[in-house]
Amino acid sequence: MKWTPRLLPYCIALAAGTPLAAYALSGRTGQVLILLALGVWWLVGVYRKQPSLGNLCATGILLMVMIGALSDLPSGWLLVGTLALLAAWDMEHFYHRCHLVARIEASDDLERRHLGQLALILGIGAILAGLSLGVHLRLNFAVAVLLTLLAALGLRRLLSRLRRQSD
Amino acid sequence: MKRLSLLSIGLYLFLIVAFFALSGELVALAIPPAVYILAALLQSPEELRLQVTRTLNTTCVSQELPVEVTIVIQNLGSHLAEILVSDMLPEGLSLVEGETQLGGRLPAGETLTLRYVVKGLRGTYEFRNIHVVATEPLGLFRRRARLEAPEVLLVLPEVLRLRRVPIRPLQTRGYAGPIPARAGGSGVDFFGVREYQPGDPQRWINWRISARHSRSLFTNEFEQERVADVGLILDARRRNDYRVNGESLFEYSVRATAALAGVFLNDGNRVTLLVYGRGLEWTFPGYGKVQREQILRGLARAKTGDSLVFESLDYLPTRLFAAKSQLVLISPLCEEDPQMLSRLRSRGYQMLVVSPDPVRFESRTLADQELGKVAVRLAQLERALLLRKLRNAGIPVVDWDVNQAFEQTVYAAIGRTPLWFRAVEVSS
Repeated sequence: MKWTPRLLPYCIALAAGTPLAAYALSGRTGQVLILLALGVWWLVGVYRKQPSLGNLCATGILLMVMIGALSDLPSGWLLVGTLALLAAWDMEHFYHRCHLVARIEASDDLERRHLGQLALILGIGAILAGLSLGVHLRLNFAVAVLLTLLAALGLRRLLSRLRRQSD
Repeated sequence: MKRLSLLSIGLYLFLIVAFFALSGELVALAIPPAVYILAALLQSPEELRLQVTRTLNTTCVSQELPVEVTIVIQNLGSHLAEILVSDMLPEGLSLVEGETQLGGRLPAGETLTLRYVVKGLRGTYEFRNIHVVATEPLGLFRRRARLEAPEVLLVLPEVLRLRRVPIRPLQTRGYAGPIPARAGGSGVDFFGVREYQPGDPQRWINWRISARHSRSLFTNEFEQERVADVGLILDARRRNDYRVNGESLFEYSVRATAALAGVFLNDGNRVTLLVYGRGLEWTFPGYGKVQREQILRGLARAKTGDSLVFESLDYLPTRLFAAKSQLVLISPLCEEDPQMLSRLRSRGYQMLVVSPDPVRFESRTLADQELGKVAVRLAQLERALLLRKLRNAGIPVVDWDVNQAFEQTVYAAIGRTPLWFRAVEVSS
């Protein structure tokens, strides 16, 4: 396994760095420091092989991205951050999963396929998110609440079904 | 927290905040995680249909010799992007080579082979299930399965080197062998003199006695040598198993039994084994190499245990042994054993007791303490009295200090005494 450990620090740097840059451009030092700390902490977690620390930092960065979106920071930066965050989070868990196993048959092939799959998913995600950033719909509050409820219920049903299947 | 839960919570939060804040940007930012979950869902593994076979290069092996375990898993279902196969080693076996876990891809119809080498101490080892976890490439959805692949490995005990153990049972069998049969005939050792009968070889005529009688001739008789029935009784009562620093005295008893079985079978005797303790584990009497294998297998399975019935030797089933045969008890002995052993001797069984010394075995850990020294001394006196009781009852005893070689101890105890004396009493 060669590529995942090499790419992982860059992805983490990008995940923390792009929202950090967006915050820095708008002159918010407090958030910059928080993101910097989260990024460094995550990197430490990677070197110490503690994926739980990665989960915590990824959640923190995601919250910072959400706050950034609500604070009208440039969406492009935040989207890149989200994509990098997802990539780093996935790669860290993949790396950890592979390290827990004593021996992996054709590990290079497995890694290549995994990275290819991840790139494809992130590419589709990036295209769809990019397209949706360009679409503007006007909704009143009641419709938005209805849509929210529908989405939440639908997601809840879907996820509970998936969990049952997975178990 | 599971990754799927974490991602779901993040997604919920994005959507809820997005709708309440009427922020289209947040909805857009939630799209990549949603695509990620959807991709994982589409590729989530279906019902696992796997066929597993476990093979051992041998199911019966001597102690400390390596055994190769091969597990082949064939995928009879759909493609599995990531699979983790893990096998649990039975307690007592140690891994010599390879790993007990294997990960990788398993496309439909293909196989994955896990191979490792183990070794272990005497015992029976049961391999049971194999755990399989299959996940989609992103690792969010998984399926687990426990596949049955049972196999049993017998690790035979170490067989100590022993040349010959002289025994003299009251009754022997019909076949020629090395054991004096207490009957005149052709043999090596002088047995007696009888009147000459036509057909007796001329060189057997005892001229000295014949010269004293004017009308008759006398011939020498030699003691016939036959094979005998030998019953080995291994004491597996837990109360007689002493453990020091993870080492068990019972293991020494097992090794001694294996050595004795080997030497008696090599002499052509019919040997049987009874493991007495947890219950009765009996190996049917037999001769030769096949019987040796059977006995070693019986010893590999032998374990100490508790039983209310078999707490003392009183319920030793003598029917399992041929009448007036040679019985060999391998036991550290306890206080009430001499009564039963004397009773067996009075019933016509010729007894031999091989007793690994528990006092010297345990004293290694107590030797440094002043109080320990006194305790050891007292225990030694108690044991000396116990052994004397047996010797006084005409039962030879091999008092084996397990720090010494078994062969050396056996010959020191019974190897040098004359046969006629050995049948009556043996001093060590």
